[in-house]
Parts: sequence; structure tokens; C-alpha cells
Amino acid sequence: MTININVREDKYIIGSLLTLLVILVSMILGGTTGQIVFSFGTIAFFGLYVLIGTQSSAKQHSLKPFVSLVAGLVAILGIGFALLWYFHLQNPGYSDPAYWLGFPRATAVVVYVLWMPPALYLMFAYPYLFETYIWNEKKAQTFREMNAKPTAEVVDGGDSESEN
Amino acid sequence: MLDVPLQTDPTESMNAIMVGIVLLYLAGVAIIGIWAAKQTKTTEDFLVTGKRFGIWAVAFAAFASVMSGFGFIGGPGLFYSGGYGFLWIAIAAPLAFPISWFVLGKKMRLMAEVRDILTIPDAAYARYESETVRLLVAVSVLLGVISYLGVQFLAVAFILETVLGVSEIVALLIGVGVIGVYTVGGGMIAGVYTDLIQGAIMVVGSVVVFFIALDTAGGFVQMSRDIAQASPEFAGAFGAFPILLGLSWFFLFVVGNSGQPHMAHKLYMIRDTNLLKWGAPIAALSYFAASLMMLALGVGMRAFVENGQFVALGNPDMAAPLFLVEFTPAVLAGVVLAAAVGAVMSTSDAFINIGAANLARDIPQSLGYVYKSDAAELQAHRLANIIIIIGSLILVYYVEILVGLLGVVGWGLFAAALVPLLGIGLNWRGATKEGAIAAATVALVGNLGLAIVVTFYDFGLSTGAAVEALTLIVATVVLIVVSLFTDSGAREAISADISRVIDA
Repeated sequence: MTININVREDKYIIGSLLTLLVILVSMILGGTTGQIVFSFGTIAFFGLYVLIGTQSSAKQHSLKPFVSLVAGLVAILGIGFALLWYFHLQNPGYSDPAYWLGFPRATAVVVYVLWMPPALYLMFAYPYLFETYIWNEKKAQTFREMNAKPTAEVVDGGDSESEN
Repeated sequence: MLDVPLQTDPTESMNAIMVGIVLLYLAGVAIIGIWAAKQTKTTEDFLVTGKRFGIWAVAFAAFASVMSGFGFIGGPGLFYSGGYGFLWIAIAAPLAFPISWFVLGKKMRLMAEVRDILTIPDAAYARYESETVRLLVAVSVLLGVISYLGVQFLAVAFILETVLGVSEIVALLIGVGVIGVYTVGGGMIAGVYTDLIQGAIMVVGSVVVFFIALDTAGGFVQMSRDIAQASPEFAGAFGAFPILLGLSWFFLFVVGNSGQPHMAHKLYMIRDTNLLKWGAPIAALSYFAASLMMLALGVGMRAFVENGQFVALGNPDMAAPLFLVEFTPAVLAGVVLAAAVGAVMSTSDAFINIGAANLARDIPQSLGYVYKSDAAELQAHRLANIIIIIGSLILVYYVEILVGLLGVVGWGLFAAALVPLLGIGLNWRGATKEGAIAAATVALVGNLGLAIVVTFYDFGLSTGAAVEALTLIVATVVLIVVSLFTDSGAREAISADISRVIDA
């Protein structure tokens, strides 16, 4: 049995596999260490999942905007979770807590740092990158032209169980 | 401040204005269904609206169907019963929508461009050229649909029973009757138009109620102090839930969003791929606005109970209706309760159509059956809608254990099957047919097995983590590992048109 890895194409997949295994072990072991590892593993997987999803666009244009995109996301979430754990572990029972903007400090981090900042960053990055890197009329035209040609052919060989 | 605890039966406080608004809303939805039935001429119209909609309609439909009755009724209930811990689900969706757009937005829309793809199992078949994959995905989706529909039907019965003061069975028949009129006749055209209206009502109503709730409860400072004084853990970042449950919810609901058929399926319906551009902010901000209400209502009610203004609620799901009838003007309460009905209906119509497509298209095709004409297929879809509605009603009443069983893993059943196969598979050429079959089998068997042991043997991970997150992770790992060890020619064997989608 051989392993079919194309390192250039599969680097994010292998990274995701390793990250998921770390997350899996941490969620089974638990404890404070497991919880912290799980949270940072989750951030890493979010970043890798976006990189997997944008790999084809990066291949056509440039990897840089997508790596920067993911670095920003990981930074926001990373800072958020670091603050969360710092304040949570200072007072895990939340007895007589210190308040920030209406919430105990750790809860305030969830509300004001982890809720909308990463979401706003990513949701507006999509339209910002859209026409230059994701999809535009020129790409649409090329795509339509390619699909005007016969589409059922297989690039090389085939293993289909039946025809579509 | 009130001197005596208020009563806890919202039905007693409903007035004619609230009831009238909800009834008017139900009539309006039924009329849209009758109109949409006339617009529905082909199977493509019925299943993917003939790819006719712009981004506002599609993004609102995606957000509204994800919000569901769980968000409007269950959400405040969980904030009430678990404190701020439920934030981990509420904060997931605004991040999940842009991630789904980056990973699947363009790919799903282009799949519908290159092939005659109308359903999620169609896409799985096209990617892996395997009827086994199509069948496994169809069965997973069908089981998930049954569980969701059962829960949604119970939710609509709960709301209408509370608002109209009728028995549960009458409320159920009214709600399901209206849903039936517009889904059987108008398919997804009716679904998307009603979602657009329902979504707008949800967003506006939620923001207004959020500020009223904050004002009534003295703002977050007062609410948090009231809660922390009596039950400090409720005010904590993880509430009354185990820490790993909150964290695994966050993982599951962010990553799993791209595996929800009622979300992913909407991406087929957009008129032009260029229109995808603003979909992520529209869907994410709408969900954020709509989720503000569940936070303020649920935590507000908990604060009222802790400071003695209300007696403890026997049923946490009463938190939202009770707050609305006691503290908001009758017109607003009526509109928001109508929005809650709308949230349930928008999810229900999406699932009825997806389930019916499984019955009438995916499963017959995977077994080799071909329709003689498009008209015959359209008729079969309408019939399948009726079967799904009646079947789910019967399950709700007579096989409740199955609804409860599947409800345990509803979101996870979709996520574990579809995130690896489509989220990964439409972006990674190395995903193989064998990997897809193994992952879909693990998702199906794993989720059903876990549902059984959770329901009958009280099983749970000792760390408190969500079992649905476990199956999502394991299924994804299985897809990758099995693909790496099988079929070295799979990357080159992908059909040219699907290859162009993966590389787009």
C-alpha cells in the first residue's frame, strides 16, 4: 500500500489532519491543558480550512493575500482566546468578578472580542478580495468558454461506476 | 421594578392584536405559496428556483433557514437555563457564514453551472462519480431532515399553542397546514420569497426587542450583577455548561455551517456567480442582529428570576414568549411572535424540499431509476413533499423517540457527512471515492450509534465535549487518511468539468 501525497498540493490537508488529531486528543483528555489546546487547535483549523478553500484562487493569483487574510484571523482569535484564558483562570468560579462593559472580564472577551471582530474582518475581506482574487467577469467568461466544450470527458483515465 | 413575581403563563396575557398579527402573517405566507405555485413550471424551478434570485434573497434565505425556531425559542431558553455559556453557539454563525463563503460559495455555484445539479447528493455524485456516495449522502441528509422537521414541527406547535391558546394538535395542524400549502405548491420559489420577508421581520424585530429588553432589565451591567450574585457560574464565559461543551459547540457550529444542506443548497439558487460578493456580510450581519434578541431575552429573564421579579420558569422555552407579552407593546410582540413562526417555517420549508428531493430524485437515481419527463419528476417532488410532511407528523406523534434520537445529532449528522465530502472534497483533488464512502459511512453510523448510546445509555464524553463535534472530526480524518492510501490515479481521473470547478 502506497501513500499518495503531493506535498505541494496537500500541505494544508496534512496540516489539517495533524491539527484535527491534536483537537481530538485534547477533547478526549480534557482538563485545563486540554481545553486550552482545543481552543488554539480550533483557531488553527479555521485558518487551514480557509486556506484549503482558497487554494485554487491562490494558485491562479498569489498566495500572499490569503496567507495575510488567515494570519489576521488567527491573530484576532489568538489574542481573544489568550485574553479569555487569562481572565477565566484568574477567577474560574466568577465569585465577585471584575466587570468590563457590563460583563465579567472573561465573558466580556467572548462578547466584545471573539463574537464580532473576527467575523467582521472575514465577512468584509470576502467582498474586498472578490473581484481581484476570487471571481470576476473575465474569469466567468473563460469558465463559460471552457464549459462550452464537451464536459463529460475525463482528463486521464476514469473510475466512475456509471455515467452521469 | 415590580413588587410581586409575575405569572408564568404567557397565553393568559395574549391579546387580540398579537393573535391577529400572527394569523395575518400565516394568511400572507399561504397566499405567497399559492402565487409561487403558479410560477413553478419545472423541477429546476421547484428545487433551485430556476437559479433566478439575487444575493439579498439568497443570503436572507440562508440566514433565515439556519436561524430556525431553535434560535428564536430555544436560544433564549438556553441562555435562560445555561447563562452566558450559550454565547458559544450564538457567536459561531457570524464567523461561520464568511468561512462557508470562502470554502464553498464559488464551488457550489459553479457545480450548478457545469452539471444538471439540483441537490446536495447530486453534487456529491458529480464530485466522486459514485452512486454509493450519492446514496450514503442522501440517507444522511434524509435522516437529518426528519430529525430537524420533527423538532421544527414541535416548535411551531409550541408557539401557536401559546399565542392562539388552542390545543397542541390544533396548533400543529394549523402550522403544518400553512407550511404544506406553500412548500407543496411553490417549492423553493415560495420558500425563498417567504424567507426574505421572514428574515427582514426577524432582524428588525430582534433589534428593537433587544433594546427594549436591555432597558427593561437595567442593561447588561445590572443583568450580569443580578445573575452573578445568585449563581456566579451563570455569568461566566462558559455559563453553567462544561467548558469543552462550549468550545466544541464553537468548533462544530463554525465548521459545520458549510455542511448544512439548507445553507449550501441556497448557493445553487443565485442568478450569477458574481453576485456572491456581498452574500457573506448580508447573511452574517443578519444572523448577528437576530441573535441579539435571544441573548437579551434569555439572560434578562434569568436576571428577573434571580432578583425575584419572576418565579422560576417551569419550561425555559417560555422565556421569549413570556418576556414579549409582559414587556413589549402588543404590536411588537405580535410581529416578533410572527417572526418566530417565520423562523420555524423558513427552516421547515427548506428541509421539506431537501427531504423530498432525496426521496424523489437522489434515492431513485442512485438505484438507477430515470423519470420519463420533467413534468413527471415535478409531480413526484410534490408528492414527496406531502409524504415528508405527513411522515414527519406521524413521527412527531407516534415515534417521538426517533425524533429525539436523531435530534441529538441533527446538525452533526449533516456536518460530519458534508464538510469532508464537499467542504474538503471540492477543494482538494486528492479526495477519493473510497475516502468519501468511508467518511460518509463513519458520519452515518457514528452519529446514529452515538445518538443511541447518548439516548439509551446516557453516554457522554467525560470531558463534556459535544459528541457531534467528535464525529465531524473523525469523519474528516477518515476522508483524508483513506484518500491518501487509496487510488493513486484519482487526482487525474476527475471529470474535466468538475476539475475546472475545483481549480476555479
